[in-house]
Amino acid sequence: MPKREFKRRYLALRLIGGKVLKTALWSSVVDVYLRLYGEYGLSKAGLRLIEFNEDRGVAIISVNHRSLPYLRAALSLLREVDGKRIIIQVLGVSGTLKRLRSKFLKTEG
Amino acid sequence: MLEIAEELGFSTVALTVQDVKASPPEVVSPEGLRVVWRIDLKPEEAQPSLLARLRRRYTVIAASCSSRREFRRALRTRVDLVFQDRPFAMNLSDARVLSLSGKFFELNLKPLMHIEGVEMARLLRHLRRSVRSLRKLDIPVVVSSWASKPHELTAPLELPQHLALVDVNPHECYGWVSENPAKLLEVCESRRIGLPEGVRILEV
Repeated sequence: MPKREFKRRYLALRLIGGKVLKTALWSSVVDVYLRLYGEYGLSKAGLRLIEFNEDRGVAIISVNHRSLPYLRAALSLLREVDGKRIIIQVLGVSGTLKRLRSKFLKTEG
Repeated sequence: MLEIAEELGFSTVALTVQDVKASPPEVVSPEGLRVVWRIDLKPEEAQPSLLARLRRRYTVIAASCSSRREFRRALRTRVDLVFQDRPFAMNLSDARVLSLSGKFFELNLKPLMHIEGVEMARLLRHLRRSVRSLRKLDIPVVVSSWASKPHELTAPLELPQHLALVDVNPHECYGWVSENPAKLLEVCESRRIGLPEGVRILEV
């Protein structure tokens, strides 16, 4: 059976501190990752914003499983998006979107 | 700020006072969040008579060090916790002295949020060296966000994630935000009520 070279991990995030736009959040996440690990690191991480609910401040980001700790470190350093002071809380991490939604986003509505 | 701390999942937070003449003010903490008071002293201030007086008012007594010389001086005092006011690389020899003193060491991760570029690279190099020595000698470490504003707070499980930047597996350091702070409070409470070292009150 063929083995996937890059396993993905999905992170459920919650933003505390105010409403931000999807584009602003994503550019801030990419900027902080790029600042810390450079273009080489960013290319290996394969970051993708799967969804973002601006009203609830809940986002799902996917990342290559090897880059997961680096993404979490980068997210914990991100404190400002589009001039707004925010805190990013990682609600949970899963290998599938289905499991992530049922385990960590069910109570979020 | 306490409400956000509770929302992020903290069960206990320590609030810091830096003035020895001040008394801890009254605070209303949200349900489910325990607040303890801590005082930060300079190593030269940590005289035994003053510490005895402060121990009645504060749960944790910490000493700040901005150089290796101050660090060594702080280790000769009777404070519970030492931390670096201005980060410097701790070598294995410093870690050995710290280990023998039986004190807790606090890693302050706040500077990581505010610097970038060459400064950040320098800080990470110091941090990498310090963490290597601390882990090698199994020194009790407490990780702190040192937040003074609400947006500087970091969820407890996210605090060890910073250590990925210094090539440490964050999963191996979860004790630095859970078991070690609890152990520190237990030791401090024992000292406060005058129990000798090694004696514990067991609840059945």
